[in-house]
Amino acid sequence: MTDSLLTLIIFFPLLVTAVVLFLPNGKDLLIKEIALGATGVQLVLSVILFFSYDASLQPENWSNAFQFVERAKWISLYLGDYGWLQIDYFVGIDGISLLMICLSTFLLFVGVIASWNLSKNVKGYFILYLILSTSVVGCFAALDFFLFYVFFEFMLLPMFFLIGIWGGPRRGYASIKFFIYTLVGSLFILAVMIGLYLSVEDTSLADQTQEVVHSFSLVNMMDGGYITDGILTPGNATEFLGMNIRWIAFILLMVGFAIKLPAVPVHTWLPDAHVEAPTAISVLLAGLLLKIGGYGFFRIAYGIFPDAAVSLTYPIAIFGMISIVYGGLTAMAQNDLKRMIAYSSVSHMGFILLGLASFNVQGAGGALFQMVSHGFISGALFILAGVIYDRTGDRGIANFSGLAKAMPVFTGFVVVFFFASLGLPGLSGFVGEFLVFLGALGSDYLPKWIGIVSISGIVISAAYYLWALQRMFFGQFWTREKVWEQTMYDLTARELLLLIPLAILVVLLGIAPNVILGPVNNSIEFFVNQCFEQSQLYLAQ
Amino acid sequence: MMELSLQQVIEEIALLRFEATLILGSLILLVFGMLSNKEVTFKVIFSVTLLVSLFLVDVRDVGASTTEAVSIDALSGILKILFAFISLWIVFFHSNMRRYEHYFLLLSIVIGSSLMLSANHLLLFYIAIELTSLSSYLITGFSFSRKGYEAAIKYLLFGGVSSAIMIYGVSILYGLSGSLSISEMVVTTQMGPLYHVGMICLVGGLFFKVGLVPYHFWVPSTYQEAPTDGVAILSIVPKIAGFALLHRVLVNFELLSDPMYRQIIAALGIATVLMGTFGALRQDNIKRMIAYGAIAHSGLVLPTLLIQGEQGGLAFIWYVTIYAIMTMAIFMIASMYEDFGIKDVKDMKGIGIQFPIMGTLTLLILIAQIGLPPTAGFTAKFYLFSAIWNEYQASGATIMLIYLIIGLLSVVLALFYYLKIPFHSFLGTAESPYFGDFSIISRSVVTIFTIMVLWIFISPEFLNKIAFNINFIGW
Repeated sequence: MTDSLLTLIIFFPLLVTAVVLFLPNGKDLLIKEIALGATGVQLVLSVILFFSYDASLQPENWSNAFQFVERAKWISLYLGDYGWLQIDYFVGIDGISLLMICLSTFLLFVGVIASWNLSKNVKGYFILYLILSTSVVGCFAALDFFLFYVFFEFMLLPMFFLIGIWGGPRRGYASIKFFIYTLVGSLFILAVMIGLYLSVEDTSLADQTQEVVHSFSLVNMMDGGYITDGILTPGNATEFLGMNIRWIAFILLMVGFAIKLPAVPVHTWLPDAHVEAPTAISVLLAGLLLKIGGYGFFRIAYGIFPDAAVSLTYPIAIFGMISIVYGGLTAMAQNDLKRMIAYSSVSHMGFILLGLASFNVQGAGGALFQMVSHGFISGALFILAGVIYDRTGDRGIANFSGLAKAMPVFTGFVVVFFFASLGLPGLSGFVGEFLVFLGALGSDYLPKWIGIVSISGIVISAAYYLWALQRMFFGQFWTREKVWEQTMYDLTARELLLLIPLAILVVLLGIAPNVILGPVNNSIEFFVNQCFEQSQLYLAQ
Repeated sequence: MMELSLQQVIEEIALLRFEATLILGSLILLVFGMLSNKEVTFKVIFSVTLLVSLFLVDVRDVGASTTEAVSIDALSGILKILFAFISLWIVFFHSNMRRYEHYFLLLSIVIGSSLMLSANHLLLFYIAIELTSLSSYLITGFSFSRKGYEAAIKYLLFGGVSSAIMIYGVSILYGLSGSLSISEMVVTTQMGPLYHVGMICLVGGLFFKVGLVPYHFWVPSTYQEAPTDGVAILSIVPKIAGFALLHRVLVNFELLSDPMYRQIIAALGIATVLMGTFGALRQDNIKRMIAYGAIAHSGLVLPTLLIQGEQGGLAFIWYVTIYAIMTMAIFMIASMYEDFGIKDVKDMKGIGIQFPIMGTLTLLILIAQIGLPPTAGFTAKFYLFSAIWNEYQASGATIMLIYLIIGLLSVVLALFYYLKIPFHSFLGTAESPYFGDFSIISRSVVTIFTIMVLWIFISPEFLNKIAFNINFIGW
């Protein structure tokens, strides 16, 4: 079974989509149950994946760093004078992708429960949702650049319609903005992808045809299987705009993924998309889609261009720092609860940039931990914002006060997740940020002041969270509209079902971070060492 | 001129058997058109003619007539197959009471375009172009509306002037070389200022036919006003033939080895891409938007002509094949919406919700037009960009890198305008529900095209077969 476990996890929802397509329109409940079942199976399979993953493996190079590898030939095209192009169906995981896949399947499952009350065009919604499930997981498992790109693009359309049809009042604007930002980013990635595959060859495939075989295998690219005179081959002196073309390619990739992450200054699509998206889609957007940006940094930008990454740590760290501080300050100025959480996401995603830029095990591990922990926390925060919105149709921070009196359980959860997000020790947010700061301050590449300025991000996030807590939840019970007071009942069983597992995970990861740091330790160490060694090698050429 | 025996003439007709069949078919159509007034008769004759001629094409057939006026190769064979195959689908367009002349003119366009592929003699070359053009002017007016006539007259005037300029260029070249056969002229022409004047006139005329900047202005109004099935043919068959001809001229007159010509042509191509995409941004009429999109596509085909070697040829064939399929599909869709009385994007509000299958098919075809996965449009653009990147890697010409960047930019902008359609049809709300339904035949045909578009993305290996069949001599 483990032979095709990954394929099963990726494509199971798509398989179910085919079933849903042929169901008649009226059977809403059945469709919801099927979707729940499909994502449930995905979740169970990924738990099996998690426990059968061999964490003790110590790889020597990228070609043996991956487990559960499946590889089949997909497209071979003749390129004329330039040999062959080889695209494979090639999936496999290391510790980094393992965590991302488990996070995805968990949040996708939660998302179905979060959209249980949906009544508008249920069939269409869940078809798109299941397509999204396949492409998100596929993105994290792909080891072929082309396959990755296809999954990456494939996410856009379902997301566009999920926001555009089921979203709030300004959904049209938000969905178009989301689509265009991400598409621009993905075209940067496309440009680099074309340049890259023309610059590498897979010698293991060459003997069949006697001609150069350009492969899209990320493993091959990370291991440095370059042809001698390719334009992106290390040591090529081609310059564009006064910079080595490898540096340009790396910057394009970073911008492409930074749009997805999002990092300041290309983050402006995120608040709009979040505010307009329905609750479940916000959860996925914050929990998963942003992580694909971070994952792209790890797997593609850093994995393939470590030389450029080492040379550019300084600007990357600065952008991380700006994201942390600017995102936090903007969050403080928001009146809409969901918008505030969206900006806090921008701020917390800055830690990923900072962690990666510090170029050591603590930093990279912290960045990865931050991705997972932010997935849980922001997911929960958006569910909490959705709770208020469901009851009143409003989310203005200034429109509520003293909610703790009317909704004590709800307030309890808000406190837990707000504190987790602002980095209270003992909750998961703390571990990631702490590791990132360890990395940033102990880095050989970064000046200390970047880390020190970034620490102010924690203070800022404490400020806006506590301020929001004080304004909305403490004091005299009051709402802007009198009718809302009756609808302010406490959490329902379904909402509890959503929030309790997330709360348990957040506490568990805060107390025992080794639950996830253990399995990925070797992968992270290998990632950092390999990036370092290869960067020295490439720079020497 | 050597003497030809009757026997030789008959043998050489075999080289033109595709065109000869089409001519025969169109004559039969004329006769039946006078006898009958049932549209279905015309459709049957039209499709049978195309089917028969389709089976007469042999890609492995390579040869030239004794006078060298006609030469055929694998490339022209493959394009003829493409023309016949694409034109076949015309009969599935929903129409009420089309005249027989309509189908006759469509056949004439195909005949002229196939002749363009084989022409190796400037006289034949000119006749082929004029046959195509005259039929195109006429078909533009076949919507029998005031605006249709206006578009047709405009097209005729511009086309007439461009033909005159082209024939002027031809006459200069003839005067310089003393021959009209393209392969002989190569040897005798001496470079001089007059030669360049002649050459620019000739190439300019071809630019008009394929709708490249600065000769693109006839495209939008023609596409908007002509009958939709006519536009479908117009935007595919003569355009692809024009590009093949343009390539033949560029290669035979060795213009590509002159860096100045390369630069100018590439710059015009870039201008075409920009003109098409920015023009499309402001359009609300569906067909006009597609027209500007088609201009942008022309600009993207052009660089393949500049890439020498097999990869340029492959990228060309690949791009035009996929372009033909998705353009046919999009015009089919446009005509289906026209039957609903929908001509503008804004009239489409909520139609995708009411007809989800049709909405999804439209969406997929538009995705292909934009060039995103998982559709063939992405594969075509991907292959094209690879070829351009490779050319840059090999030659280091900065203009190619600019071309690549503009090409990528056009994808983003294409999203802006093409996405208006699903945006309104899915995200908008209809003021009142739409009455009626799409015809089952049109829906099935669009489904077939959509499956083709998806299938080529998943399994594009048949390109390899084409690649091994074509010997890209001189590309």
